[in-house]
Amino acid sequence: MFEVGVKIAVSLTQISIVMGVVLLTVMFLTLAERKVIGWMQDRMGPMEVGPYGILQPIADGLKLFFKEDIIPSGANKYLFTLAPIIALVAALVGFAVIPFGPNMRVDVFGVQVQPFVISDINIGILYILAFTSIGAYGIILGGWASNSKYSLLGGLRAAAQLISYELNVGLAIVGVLLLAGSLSLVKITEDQCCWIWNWFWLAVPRGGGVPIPQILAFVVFVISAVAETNRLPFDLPEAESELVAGFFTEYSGMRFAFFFLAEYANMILVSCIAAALFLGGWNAPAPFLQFHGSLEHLAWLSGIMWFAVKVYFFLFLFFWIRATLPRLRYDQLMRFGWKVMLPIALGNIVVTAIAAYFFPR
Amino acid sequence: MHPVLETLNSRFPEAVLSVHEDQARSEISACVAADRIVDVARFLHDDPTTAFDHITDICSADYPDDAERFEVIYHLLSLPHHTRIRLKARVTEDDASIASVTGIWKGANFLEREVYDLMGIRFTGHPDLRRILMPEDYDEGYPLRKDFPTEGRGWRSRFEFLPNMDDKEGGPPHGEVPEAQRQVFSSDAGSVSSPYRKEELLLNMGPQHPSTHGVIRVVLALDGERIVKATPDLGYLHRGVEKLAEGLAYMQIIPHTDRLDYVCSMTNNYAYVRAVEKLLNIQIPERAQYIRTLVAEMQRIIGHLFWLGTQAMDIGAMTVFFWTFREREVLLDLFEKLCGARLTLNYYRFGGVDSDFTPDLVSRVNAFLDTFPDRVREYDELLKSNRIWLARTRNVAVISGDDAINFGLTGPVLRGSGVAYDVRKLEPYDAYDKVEWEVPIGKNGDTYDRYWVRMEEMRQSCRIIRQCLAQMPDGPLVADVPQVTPPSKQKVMRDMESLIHHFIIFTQGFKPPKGETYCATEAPKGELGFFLISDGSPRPYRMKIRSPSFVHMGAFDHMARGYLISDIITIFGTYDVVMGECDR
Repeated sequence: MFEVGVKIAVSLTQISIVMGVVLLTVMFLTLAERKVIGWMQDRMGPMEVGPYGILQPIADGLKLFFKEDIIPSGANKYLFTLAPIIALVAALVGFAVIPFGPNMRVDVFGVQVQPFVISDINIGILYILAFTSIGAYGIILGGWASNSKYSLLGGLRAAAQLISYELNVGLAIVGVLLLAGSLSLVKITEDQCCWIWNWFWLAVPRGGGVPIPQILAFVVFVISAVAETNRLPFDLPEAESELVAGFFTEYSGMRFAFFFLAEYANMILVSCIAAALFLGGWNAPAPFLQFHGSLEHLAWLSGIMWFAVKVYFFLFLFFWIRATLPRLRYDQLMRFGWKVMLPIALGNIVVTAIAAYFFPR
Repeated sequence: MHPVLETLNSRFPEAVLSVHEDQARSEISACVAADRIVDVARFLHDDPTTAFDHITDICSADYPDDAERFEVIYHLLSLPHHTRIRLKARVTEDDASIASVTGIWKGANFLEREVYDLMGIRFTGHPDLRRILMPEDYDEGYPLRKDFPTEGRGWRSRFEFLPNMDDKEGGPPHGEVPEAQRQVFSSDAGSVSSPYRKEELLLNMGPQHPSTHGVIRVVLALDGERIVKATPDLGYLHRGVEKLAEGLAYMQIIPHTDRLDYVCSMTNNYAYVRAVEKLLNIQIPERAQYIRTLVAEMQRIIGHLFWLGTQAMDIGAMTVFFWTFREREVLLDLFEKLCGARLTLNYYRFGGVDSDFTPDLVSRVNAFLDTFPDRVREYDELLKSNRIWLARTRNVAVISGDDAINFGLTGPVLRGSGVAYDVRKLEPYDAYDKVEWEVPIGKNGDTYDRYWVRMEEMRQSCRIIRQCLAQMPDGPLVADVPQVTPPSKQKVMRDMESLIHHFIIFTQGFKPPKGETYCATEAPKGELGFFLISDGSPRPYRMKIRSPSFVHMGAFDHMARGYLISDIITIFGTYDVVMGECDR
C-alpha cells in the first residue's frame, strides 16, 4: 500500500514538473518564434512588454484569459467545447513516455523510480502515435462544430493531411524500431550511446560494424512532423490567407488558447521524439562532452542539457522554415505526402529490414 | 480625314451619324445610331483594317436638356494599328436602352454593368445586368444623372443596424440573436429529402477577409475545394469620386485622385494631370518632364514592391513582405522629402510639378539605385528558386493573350500573356521616349510570368530613373501658362497683382475650352485613363476614370474557374487590385 502511495506521489511530482516545464516552454516559444522570425525579417519582434518584450507571453495569456468566450449560434455547444480540450490533452499526454534524461533508477523510500521519464512503458512510441492521432479529432471536431464554412474546410483539410502524414511518421519510425528492437523510447535512446555516429541517423553499431543509416527516415520524419503540427509550409488547415484561421476561425478566448497551446505542445513533442529517435536523445555527441570524472554524479544534468539542445534545434528549425517557405497548395501537399514521402519511407523500411537481417546488431 | 473614319462613313452611311477628328489632341470619334451600335462595333472589331480588339472603357454622359438625353461612350483601342476611337451613341430617357456589346468584347460585361448602375441605361442582351458598385437593393435612382443630388436622397438613414437616436427603445435586440433568425444557421433547418445531397458549397470570401486586399466580396461556388464559379461583388469602397468631381474645380480634384489607388498616388495624379493638360493643350518644361517620369517610375517600384510583398504573403512567404517594405520605406522617405507626404502625395500640377528635385534627393535616389538591384536579386532568391513558389505560381490562373485582350486587360497582366502593350512605349509621354528601356513580356500568361514581368519592370524602372537623373536639365518646374498655373509663392508674397492672380486661380479655377478627351497613362497596375468632358465651365462636366483594377476584376471568374480555393488568393495577388481604385 505504502509502495503504491509513493509511486503515485512520485508520478504526480514528475507530471507536474514536466507539465510545468512544457507549458513554460510553450509560453516562451511563442515569444521566441516572434523574435527569431523578426530577426530574420529585419525587424525587432515584440518590444513593448517588459525589457525586450520578454513578458509578452504573459500579456498574451492574460488577454486571452479575459477575452469574451463566444460560441457561435448554430454551433454544437458540446463538441465546440470538447474539441480544444481533446486537442490539448492529446498533445500533453504524449510527454508521459519521453525520456528527458539518462535512464537511471533512484531509490525513494524503498521504491525504485526512473526520475527522467514519467512512465517507461514498452510501447512508448506507439502510445504517442495513438494519442497524436486522437489530437486530430480535436481539430476535425472543432472545425465541424463551429458551423462555419471556413472552419469546416479547415477541419476537412486537417483530417486529410493528418491521415496522410501520420502514416509517413509511423513508417519513418519503423526503421529505427527495427534497429533498436524495442518500442520503448528509453531503450531506443540507450541504444544510441555513445558517439555521434552511433545515433540512429547514421546508426553505426556500438562495437563497430556495418552502419544502417536512417537519415532518409529522419528527413521524412522531420518533414512529416512539420506537416503534422500544421506549421508552414504545411499549415493548410489554418491557412490564414485562404481560410481566415481555418478550423479555429470561430474560437476566441481560452478555447482559442487551448488550440494554440496544443499546436506548440505538439511542436515540442515531435521535437522530443525526433531527438530521441534519431539524434540520440540525452546522449552527448561524444563521451567527453558530458560531465565525467569527478563530476560523474552530475552526468544526468549534461544529459538533460543535450536533450534540450537537440529539442531546441528542432524548434528553431520550425521557425526557420516558417520564415523561408511559402505555403503548399492542398493538392500539392497530398501529392507530396503520398507520392514522394510514402515511397521513401517504405523503401527505407525494406532496405533497413534486409540490412538488419544480414548484419544483425 | 482619318482612314478609320472614312471606312466607317463608307461602310455604314446611315448608321454613322457624324464623325469628328480632333487634330490637336489626335483623337477620332464617331456618333453612331444607338440601334446599330452592335453592327458598327462588330465591324470595327472583326475587320482587319480596323481591328479594334481591345475595349478600353465604356462610360456615359447625361445631357438633361437634349432630346436624346444619355450618351453612351465606347473607347476602343486597336492593338495592331495603335489607334484609338471613341464611339458615341445617344439614347432617350424614356427608352434608355441599348444593345450590349458583351458578345464582342467580354470585358464589356463589367463596364456595361457600371453604366447601368450609375446612369440607368439598360443593355439588352447583357448576360448579368445587375448593379455593381451600388448595393443591389439600392433604390434611389442612378447617381451619375445630373438631377441626382451629390449627397444622395437619404437612403443611408434607413439602415436598420444604425442606431436611431430618436427612438429610445428601438434598434435591434441587444446581445443574443433572436430564435427565429437562429434557425437559418442551425444544421437541421429545412428538410433533407435524400441522404445523398449534391450541391455546391457557397463560400462568402470577404468583405472582411485577410487576403482580399481591401473590402471586396467574392461569392465562391465550390465543389470540394475546386471553384465552380466565382462572382466578385464590388463597391464596398465606392465613394462616388466621379460624381464628386463634377462639383469641384479641376485643381481641387488632384487630391481626390490620390485616394483612388492609394498605393500609387503619384501615378493617379499623373494620369489626371495629363488628361487636363491634354484638354488645355499645355506644353511641359523639360525639367518638369524628367522629374515627372522619374517620380512616376519611383512610384512604379513602390507599387510593385507592395504587390510582391502582399502576393508572397498571401502564398505564405511572409519574409518577402517585410523585406519589400524595407525598400518601400526608403522610397517613401524620399517622397516625404520631395513633397512632404508619404501616401497621399498630391505632387503633380497642371503644367509641371509642385516642388523641385533637389541635389540632395538626387544623391539619395542614386544611393538607393546602387543597392536596389541586389535587393531584387534577394527577393528572387527567396522565390524564383523555390520549388513551392514555382508550384504555386506556374500554370495557375492562365489567361491567353487573345482572352486577355478581349477582356480589356492592361499592364503587367496583359504583358504576362505575351502582348506587348505599354502606354509608355505606344504613346510615349514626357521623357519616356528620351530614355532607353524595354518592355518585358511573358509567354504563358500564368501567375509566374506576371511575377517575372513585374520583377523585370522594377529593374527597367531603375534604368529609367538612372537615365532621367543623368539627363535632367535645369529649367522651370511649371509651364508658363498664366490662365492655368498660379504665380510662384515669392511673387505672391511680394506684389499685389500676383496675389490677385493667385486668388483668382484658386477661387474660380480656370476654364478649359469646350471639348472632350481621353488620356491614358501607364500605372503600375495597368492603363489608368481619365476621360474628361468639358462644357467650358471651371468644373468638369463629366469625369470618367478608367481604372485597371475594375476592368481586371471582370476577368476574375474566367481566370478562377477550375482552380482551388488556395489559388483564389493567388489570382487576387496577381491582378494587383486596389479596391480604392476599383470601386472609386
